[in-house]
Amino acid sequence: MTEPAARAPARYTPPEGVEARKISPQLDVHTGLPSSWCPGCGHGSVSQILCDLVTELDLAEKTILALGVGCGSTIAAQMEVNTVLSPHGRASDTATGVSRMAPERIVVQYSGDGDACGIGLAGLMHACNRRENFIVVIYNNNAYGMTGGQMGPTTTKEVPTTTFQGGRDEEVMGYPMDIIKTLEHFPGVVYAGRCALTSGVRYREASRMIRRAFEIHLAGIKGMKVIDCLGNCNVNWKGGGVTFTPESSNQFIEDQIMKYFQMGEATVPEGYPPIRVR
Amino acid sequence: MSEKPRPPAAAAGGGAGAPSFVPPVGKPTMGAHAMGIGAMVAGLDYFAGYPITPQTELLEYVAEALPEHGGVFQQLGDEISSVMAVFGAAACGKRAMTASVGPGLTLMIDGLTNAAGAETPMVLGALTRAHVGVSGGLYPAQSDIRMLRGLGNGDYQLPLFAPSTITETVQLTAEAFDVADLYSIPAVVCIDGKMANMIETLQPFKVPERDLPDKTWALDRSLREKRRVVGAARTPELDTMVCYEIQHKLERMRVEETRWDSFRCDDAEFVVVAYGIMARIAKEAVRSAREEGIKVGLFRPITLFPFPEAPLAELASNAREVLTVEINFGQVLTDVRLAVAGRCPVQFFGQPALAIPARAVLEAIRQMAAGQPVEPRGFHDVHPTAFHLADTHPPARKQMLDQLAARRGQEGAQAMLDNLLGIRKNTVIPEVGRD
Repeated sequence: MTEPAARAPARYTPPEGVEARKISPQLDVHTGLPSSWCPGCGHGSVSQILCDLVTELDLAEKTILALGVGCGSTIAAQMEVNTVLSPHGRASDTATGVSRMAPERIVVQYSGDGDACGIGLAGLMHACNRRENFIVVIYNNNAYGMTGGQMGPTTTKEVPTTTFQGGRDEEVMGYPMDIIKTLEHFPGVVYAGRCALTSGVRYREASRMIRRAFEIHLAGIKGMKVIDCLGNCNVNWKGGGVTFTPESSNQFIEDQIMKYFQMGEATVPEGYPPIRVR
Repeated sequence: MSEKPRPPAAAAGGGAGAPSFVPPVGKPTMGAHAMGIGAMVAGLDYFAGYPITPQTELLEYVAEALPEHGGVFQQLGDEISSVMAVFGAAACGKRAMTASVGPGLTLMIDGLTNAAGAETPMVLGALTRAHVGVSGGLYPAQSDIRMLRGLGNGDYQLPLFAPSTITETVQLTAEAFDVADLYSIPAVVCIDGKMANMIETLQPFKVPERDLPDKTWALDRSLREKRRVVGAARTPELDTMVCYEIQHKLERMRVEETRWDSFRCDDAEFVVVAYGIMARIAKEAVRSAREEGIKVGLFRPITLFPFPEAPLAELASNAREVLTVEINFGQVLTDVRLAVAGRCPVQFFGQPALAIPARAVLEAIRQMAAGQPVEPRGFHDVHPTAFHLADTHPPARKQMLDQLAARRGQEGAQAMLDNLLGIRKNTVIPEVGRD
């Protein structure tokens, strides 16, 4: 499955009430630098979606990226917008300060599952509880990728990791965390949904969902917009003799990991038609 | 967003359209409030915190004052969240502050090392209390100075102010924002729990106007000019460069920001070194000692980093002896010894919690003047009638037993008391300094 990397941006019609007037020529936020992500990794896809979207909607000047620590934080090299880097798990807290002090900006937290659901869970949940106003995009690859594939809070029973080679040991480590189920009922969360980056079709679904989060934000609906993107960590899912290729890891997500995670939108503000997912 | 540099602290007064802040000069002011007043004078934009004794009064004060003057106050999930949100606000070029106490400061170190690495100016209010770990004891002490100077991972230090009056707390907190902006570094203002709860009339004060740099690195600036990235994590080469840059800043601070105060040091044969609340108490003792004819003076470091080494060294070259007085077991003593550098003997006088009474300091000065060694105060000096002493104080023990027996019977009461005192029995309490 090849991802549509150089996809031409589709013509965009802004939702009602959003001004489409362009004050200045669009700024292209794609840096064009080679990425440090492994071949087949879904971080590249999310980065592509975000860069396309921000360029297309001419939000380059308005967007501020809030990053924690993890493979995802190297999106700073792909996306040329003002960026704040915080320690591991503190992106939600930092984004709180930034969005409170620059309310006219769009703050986007881009985190991995370890960053958002492990070390940063308290910060993220409290941000949702406080009804902070920023967008959270989580790349959920069921592992700590940057440190070489250790088990994370979202890791399912089937995924081999370096710390639990036969997959999550439910006796000692419990069960995979569904961050969308955790957050969807917070009154401060206005948009929550899960997408995946396993195929071209899924890529388009993910793209629509992330765009929807931006649309809701631009429409002035205050609250957290949380999107969990299931993706692979084909290089680091290893252990017990099991190895993956990008293709087989994507198939593995479809076959095994999606059993644990409900796909599609969970919380949508009134007036927004649902985005259909497979 | 405005591209103009911020007005200097003395003239600032919160967000646009908000009423300007007027400090309550001439009114009784609490130490914890004083930190908030100083921040408001500096034009505070954002405050995030988590309640902890004795910082809560500051939190409550800012919660009321800041929104009235166009700022944002938030009470976040914990100290780590608070310090990181303050970092986020500071990354936008705003004036942001948080404050905490011992165990909370320990958590905040996480954010401070990051903010220092990211070269982001912000202010931390440190209100210190005694004891190791999270304990039930809320006694005031100066026991976190070493932590506030050591500060987590990385080779850096932060400017650390130790005011000793309420007015000075207001003034130095306001100035801390300027120092933070000037050096692009977090600044720390430290008072102990006693000062935090102390009430004093706020005297007229002046915050010197400084030429502050424009925050061109701030996140809220336009992307069209330049991309802004605020954060400690960069490439390894850049990180190394930042290490040099921070050291360069610290050197500059040593020259330009070192502050101290002295009292009757001109002809002093003996010099007492004390800071914060202890400096005021020591001043009383120095006055009394002078009346007795002992030629003693008080040296008060106002900045604990940068430490006023040169002026203390000069005093030490003419002195017979130096006595450091702290409410801990000697956390600034190291700096004093390094500054004195063997020019004369350095003695230490302190206790782990609660303020040392002036008469005890006076006694220590007398001992020093008589050429005797000075010992830190013992447990029984600090807690002459403590609960833990019930087993060594028969009347207290009997009273407790009687109270317990009324509810649990004689045997049960004895067992319970023994249990409670079990901790005490395994603890060796030195008898040093007992009256």
